[in-house]
Amino acid sequence: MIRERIGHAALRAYPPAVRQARGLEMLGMLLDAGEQSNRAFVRESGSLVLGGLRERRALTARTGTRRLIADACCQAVIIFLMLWLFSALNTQGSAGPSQRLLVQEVVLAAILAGALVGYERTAAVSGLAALIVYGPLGPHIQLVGLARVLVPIACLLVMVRAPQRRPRDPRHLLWLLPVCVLAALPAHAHVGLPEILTVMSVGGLLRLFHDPRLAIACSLVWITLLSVAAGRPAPAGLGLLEVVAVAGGLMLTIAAGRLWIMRHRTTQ
Amino acid sequence: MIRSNNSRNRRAADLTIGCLSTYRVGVELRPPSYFALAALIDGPLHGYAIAQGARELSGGRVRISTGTLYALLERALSESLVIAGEPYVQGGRQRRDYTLTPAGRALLADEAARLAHAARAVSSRLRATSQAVPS
Repeated sequence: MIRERIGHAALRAYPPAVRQARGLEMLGMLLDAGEQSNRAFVRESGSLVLGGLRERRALTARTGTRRLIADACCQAVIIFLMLWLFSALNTQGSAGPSQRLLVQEVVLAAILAGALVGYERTAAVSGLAALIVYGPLGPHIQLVGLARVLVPIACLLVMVRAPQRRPRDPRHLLWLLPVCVLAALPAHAHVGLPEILTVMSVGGLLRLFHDPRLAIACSLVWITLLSVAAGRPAPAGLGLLEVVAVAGGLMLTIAAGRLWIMRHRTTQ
Repeated sequence: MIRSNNSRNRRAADLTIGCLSTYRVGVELRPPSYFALAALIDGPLHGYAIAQGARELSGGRVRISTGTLYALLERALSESLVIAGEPYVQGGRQRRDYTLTPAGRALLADEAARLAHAARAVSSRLRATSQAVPS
């Protein structure tokens, strides 16, 4: 029974379509092959996980480079919105209740919810509008302010032009939960945007073997943080600037390299 | 090129997923693919039986794991080298039998001929040089 559960867990490495078509059959073989010893079972389970990740990698590679980059931009928009909402909630927590901030939070939460569920085009247009109303794209915009939001604007435009091709799923709203939980943490917990982005980046790096999209998305957000940190006066901004520059540059390089390898393998 | 069995298995799994040309006539079949297809010569078999058959045929040198076998079968199915039967339950486990198609048999015959030719060429060369060089 425990082995069957482990087998089911290992099968989750496969894309859902493969799991549905051959999952039980694979599980049967895993149990047969693992009957000899625990070691054989562990080895077979490991091979199943690797096989699943390879299958996912092949699926991602077949998607095409343009689609992968567009998807990464869409994911970057969702991360931007999450961080913006977190930042607004955090400001409200530290500065006290404000009517304007409350409205902004509700608007941002609605846009983020739309993007998470799958109404990406609507969310992207609303995001651009929110940048004009609440962000640095207001009537008194300066060139420096515009430069800081160039990446988010580019990502939003990509999202309008080529939203992700995925079924609408309200279960994705659960991603709102960590944002609210993190924002509710006390100020001395020292959870800021770089820390949250670091956690997301670790997730992106873990997925890099079969899917570079999240890593590219995180890199785009790191680049934006870099431009924001660069505008801060030294020395307060200097440490952060270095960390952000190294993290962003490293992630982008690794993700781009992985994308190139995947593309190269499919064209072989 | 000489490689260890593990490295062969890994490479085969890569190729069976990444390269469509793996099974085309005239292209070398990797040992796991070769022995897995060869296990089906006598008739339809389910996944675990294919892995066991491949191991027996190779004299224990090729061990095909679950993940590798299904990647390999998926590729063989897409290249119409094998066909999959309907799933059934045996001993409380779901199984499905795979059958070698005429295209699969032809590919195996080509590969067997290529390997035999390569073995003959090297063997005759070895015999010739062992007679010429005193021990």
